Amino acid sequence: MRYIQLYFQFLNLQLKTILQYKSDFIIGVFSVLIGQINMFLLTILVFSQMDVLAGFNLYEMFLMYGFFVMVKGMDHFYNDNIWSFAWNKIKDGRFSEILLRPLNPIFYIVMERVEISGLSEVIIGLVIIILSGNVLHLSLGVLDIFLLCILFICGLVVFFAIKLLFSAPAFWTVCCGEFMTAGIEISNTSKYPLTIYKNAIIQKILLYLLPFPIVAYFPAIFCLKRDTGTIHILNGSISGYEIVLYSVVVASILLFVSIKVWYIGLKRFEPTGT
Amino acid sequence: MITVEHLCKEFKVNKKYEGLGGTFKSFFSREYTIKRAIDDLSFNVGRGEMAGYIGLNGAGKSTTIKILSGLMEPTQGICTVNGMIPYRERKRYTKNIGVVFGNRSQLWWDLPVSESFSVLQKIYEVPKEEFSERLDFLIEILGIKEFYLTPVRNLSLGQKMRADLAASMLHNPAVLFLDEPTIGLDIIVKEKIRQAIKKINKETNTTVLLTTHDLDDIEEICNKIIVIDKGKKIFDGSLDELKNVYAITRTVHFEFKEETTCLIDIRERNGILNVENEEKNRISIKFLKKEVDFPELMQDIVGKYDVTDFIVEEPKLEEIVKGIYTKDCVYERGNSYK
Repeated sequence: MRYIQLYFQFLNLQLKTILQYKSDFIIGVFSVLIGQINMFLLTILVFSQMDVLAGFNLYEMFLMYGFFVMVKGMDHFYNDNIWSFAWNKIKDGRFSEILLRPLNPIFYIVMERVEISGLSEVIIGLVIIILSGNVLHLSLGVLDIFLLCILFICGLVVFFAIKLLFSAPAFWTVCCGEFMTAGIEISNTSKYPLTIYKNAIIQKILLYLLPFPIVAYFPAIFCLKRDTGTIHILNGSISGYEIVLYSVVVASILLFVSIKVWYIGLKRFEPTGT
Repeated sequence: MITVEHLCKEFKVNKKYEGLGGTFKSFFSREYTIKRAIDDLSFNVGRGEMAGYIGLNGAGKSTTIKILSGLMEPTQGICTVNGMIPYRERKRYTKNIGVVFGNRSQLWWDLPVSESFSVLQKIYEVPKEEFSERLDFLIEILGIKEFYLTPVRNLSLGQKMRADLAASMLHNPAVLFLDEPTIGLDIIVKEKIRQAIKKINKETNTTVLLTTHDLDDIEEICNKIIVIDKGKKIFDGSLDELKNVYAITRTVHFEFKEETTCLIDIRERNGILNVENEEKNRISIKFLKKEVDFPELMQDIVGKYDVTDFIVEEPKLEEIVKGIYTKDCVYERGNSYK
C-alpha cells in the first residue's frame, strides 16, 4: 500500500518533469510511431511474397504483433529505468544513493522513471489487436478476456524478469548494458510463431529459459483457439487453459529466479569511488 | 551511538600492468593484491557528539562512512550504529540516518527543491505535522526560503549543499553522516552550514560524523576528533587533547628597534628548533614548549637587545594535523623533531 502511494508520488514528479521538456516528449512519441510504421510495412512486405507463415496469415500475424507491441510498450512505460541500472547507475555511484533509502531497491529503480511515450505503443498495440481481431472475427467471452489479461500480466512478468536477470551482472562487472541489450533483442523472436524455429534446442530455450513466446505467441493462439501443434510442453501440445497455466507457472518461476540472482548480486556489491 | 570495533576492510585489486599490452595482460590475469583500506579500526561516538573524522586522501575515510551507512560489509570486525548493524538490516537502519555526500546531490535535478522534499517525506513516512514543523526549522536555519521553489539545476553549489543538508535531515535522523559537506564552498556558505549543523545538533541532539579536509570545520563544529592514516587510527580525542599532545611547539616573533642578525647564542640552546630572520629587524624563534624555559628566554633576549614588540603563536590546527600525517612531530614518543 505504501509502495503504491509512493509510486503515484513519483509518477507525479515524472509528469512535472516531462512538462518541463515538452519537445523531448513529443520527439519520444514521434520516434515510437516511426518505429511502428516501419515494422508494419515490413510485415506487409513479407506477406506480399507469401500468404501464410508457419500456418499464420497476415492478420493473424498482426494479431500476434499487436500483443507484442502492447506488452513491450507497457514494459517500456513502467520499467525502463532498469536500463540505466545496467548501463551506469553503479558506475556513477547513483546506485549507492538508492541503497541509502529505506526502500526495496528494485522497486525504487522501477519507480524512479516512467517513459510516457511507452503508452503510445500500448495504444497502438491495442488498436492493432482490435482491428485484426475484427477482421479475423474473433469471438471472445468475458472469461477469455480475463484470461487474456492474465496472459498480458505474464508477458509483463517475463519482460521484467529477463530484464532484471540480464541487468544483474552489473553487480559484478559494473556495467552490462550491451549484455542486457543482447538479452532483450531475443524478445523479437516473440513477434513470430514459435513453430518457425525448427531447432529443438532453440524451441526449448524459448519455452523454458527465455520464454518470450508468452508475450505474444501464446496470447495469439489462445485468441485464435488453436493449440501449440508441433510444440510440445511436457507430453503434448497445449491449448486454452493449459496455455494460461503454463504461462503463469513459467513466468512465476522465472520471476523468482531473477529476483534471487539479483539479490545474490546485490549482496556482493561494493560501491565504487568516493 | 556509533561503536566500531576492530573493523577491517580489504579489497582485492587486480594486478595492473602498464600500457595497452599490459591492459590485456591484466584483463586475463587472475593475480590480485589485497589492499587493506581499513586496518583494525576501533572508535566510539556518543549520542549527541559531533565527531570530526579526518585523514589524507585514501586514508580510509570514505570506506568507513560506506560501512557505517550500510553500503558495505567489513571484512572483519563489527560496527553498530543506533543499536543496529548497518549492513545487516539496511531498510530499517537507513530510516534513521541521514547521509550527505558533498560531491553528489540527492535531490531531483529537474524539479524544485520543494518537490524533492515532499517525496522524501513519503519515502521516510514522516507524519504531515511533524514534517512541516521540521521543514520550517530547516528552512529557517539553512536560509532555504529564497530558492525553495527553484529547480535544483538552477541552484548554485552553496544553495544545493544547503538544500541537500536539509533533505538529509527531514526525517529527523538520529545519526548524520556528512562526507565533506563544505567541499568547494565559499567562506560565507561554509560558515552558514557550520552554524546550521551546530544548531541542528543542539536542537535535536543528533549525532554527527563528519569527514572533511577543511580543519576550520573541525575547529568550529566538532567536540571529538578521530584521525586515521592508512586505515589505522592514530588519534582519538578532543580538540584540546589534540593540541596538548601534538601542539608541542611555540613560535615567538620579535620586532627589534635596529637591524639584528641571527641571535647566534640563542640558536645553540637546547630545544630551539629554528631561528629565522623574517626581515631586517624581525626574527622568529620556534621552540619546544617543554624544553625551553620561556620566561628565561624572554629575559635573555629583552636584556640583550632592544625589543619593540613580540607575539607568541601556538601552531594552527592545520600545522598540527600536517605534523601528525607526516609524523615529524611525535616528539613525545621519543623521536626527535626534524
